[in-house]
Amino acid sequence: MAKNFSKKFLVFLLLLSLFSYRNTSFALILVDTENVSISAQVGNTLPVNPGGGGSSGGSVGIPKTSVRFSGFAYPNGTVTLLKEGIELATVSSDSSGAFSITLEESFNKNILYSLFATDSAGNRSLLINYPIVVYTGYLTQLSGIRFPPTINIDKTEVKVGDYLTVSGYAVPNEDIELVIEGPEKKVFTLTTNNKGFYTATLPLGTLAKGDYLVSAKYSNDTRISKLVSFTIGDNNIAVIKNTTNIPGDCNVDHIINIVDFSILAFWYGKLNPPKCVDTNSDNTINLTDFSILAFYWTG
Amino acid sequence: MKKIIYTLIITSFFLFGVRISFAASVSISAQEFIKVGDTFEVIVSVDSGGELINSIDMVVDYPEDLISFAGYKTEEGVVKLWISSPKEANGKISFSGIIPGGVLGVYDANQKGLSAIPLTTLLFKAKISGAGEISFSKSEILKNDGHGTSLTHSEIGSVINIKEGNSVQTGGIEDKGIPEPFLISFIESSLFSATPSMIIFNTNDRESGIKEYQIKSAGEDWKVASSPVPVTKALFSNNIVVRAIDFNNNYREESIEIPGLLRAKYLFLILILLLSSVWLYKLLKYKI
Repeated sequence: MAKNFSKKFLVFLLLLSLFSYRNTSFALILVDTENVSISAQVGNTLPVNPGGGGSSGGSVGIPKTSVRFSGFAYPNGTVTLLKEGIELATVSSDSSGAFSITLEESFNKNILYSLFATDSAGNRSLLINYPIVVYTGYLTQLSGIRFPPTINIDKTEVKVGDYLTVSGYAVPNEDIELVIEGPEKKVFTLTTNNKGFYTATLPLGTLAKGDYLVSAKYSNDTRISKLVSFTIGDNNIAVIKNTTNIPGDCNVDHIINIVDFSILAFWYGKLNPPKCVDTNSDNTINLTDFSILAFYWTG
Repeated sequence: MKKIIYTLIITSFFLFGVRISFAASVSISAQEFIKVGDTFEVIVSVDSGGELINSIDMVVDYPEDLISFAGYKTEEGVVKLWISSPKEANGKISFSGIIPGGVLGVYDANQKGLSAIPLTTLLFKAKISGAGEISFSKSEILKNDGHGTSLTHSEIGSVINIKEGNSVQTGGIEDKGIPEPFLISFIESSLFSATPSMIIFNTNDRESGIKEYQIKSAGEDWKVASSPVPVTKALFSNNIVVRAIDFNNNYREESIEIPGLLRAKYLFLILILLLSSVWLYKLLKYKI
């Protein structure tokens, strides 16, 4: 029996090796992608772009070329669309967080679109990029977009054994996870209320002293919110509004843009960079610091 | 029987060169057959295997006896913000940049799943006939996870065959256009900041990319520079000109006025105060 299995296994390995030769490689890692779907259909001649920016009226008989983005952001918030880094349109999301933006296009092209959402309290999401192949005469639809929750904390330092309050907005009545990472990791799950708001006072009792990051995400999604840093130490220190908790934001304007990128570029490869530039506090400015800056980019 | 199977397996692994690769890969795509004199495109793209990526740092090797580097195109690529735009040195082309917000793949309704992410398109000119390979000598890809985690990936190069014959332009490079207009911004250093005041600038050239920038201050010669450029404030305002030069030596110039320590309005105020003092002194002297 065992001998027979061994033979079968060897034959399987042989077949696998031959199959692998045909494909030159085989995947060792399986990963999830987000639940966004893309489709294209022959465009109509109706005016599009409820968010503004497109022309109204249509050339009769000539199909329009357009791109539509739809999904969920935050209840009664806004969603802004950028094309190649330039803001084109802002639309409101409804009470369920649903939004839709349609943009008229002219060319058959590979275009980089970006979206960000703002919740009703004014908190901005991270940037989401969609490079899309646009076909002339077609309406290309990207549906199922879902912005990760927004996140705020009440303290920058939490006394050992005390509590951290985390709050923000997401889609109403959805399960979300609050993930605390640092010397130790802890995950809390909760559900947003019918207005999309969530707040949780997290007991940090068992977590050791040190620097931590907290983020929020939907339980069934891979995209995470901003990472917000806090320390577990000897005191409770409340968040002060005029301070920044964004790595690389040296000018404390709560914006990560070309100015912050240029300051980082100035220190790239130089010794003794200022603390605010060194996003991961390793005393070196390298590609990792640029990656962290790109994660928090607001434009 | 067992021995035969073992031998077959081991032989097949060696003969067919089975490579264990990762879900993610970075690849070079070039057309296989090129004519001498052609300028052709080489696309560098990443299949991120379902991971969001936001930073890249690459060094590409090419057979410099066969082909020469002729520039790059960014229009179709997702890297718009270069830490260092594609530059050639000793048969290697290096470039690094970021994609703010990260990217997962290209969304194409005509393709099943996400397509590979085009980073940039390198341009080469075929010099003589022969065969060679364009490959990576370094490739670093970082995830958009807020930590800059490195993405494990495999590298796939591309073989090129250059043949004698009538040149057929496939890449279509007749770069007569000058680089796009650009803005120069002045970032003033704060009082206790270790970062000096500096000017920043960035532009593109559709046909062949930006080869280099040069800057010129009043009374000085042109010198090669890259953004950001530290500047020191003089007593009076200073005009700085930045020249963006593409790979075909077309250029565009833009300028910025760096404010001086003594601004005109302050000088005017000082003058007014001085004149007022003189007038007051004379008035008092007359009354006494």
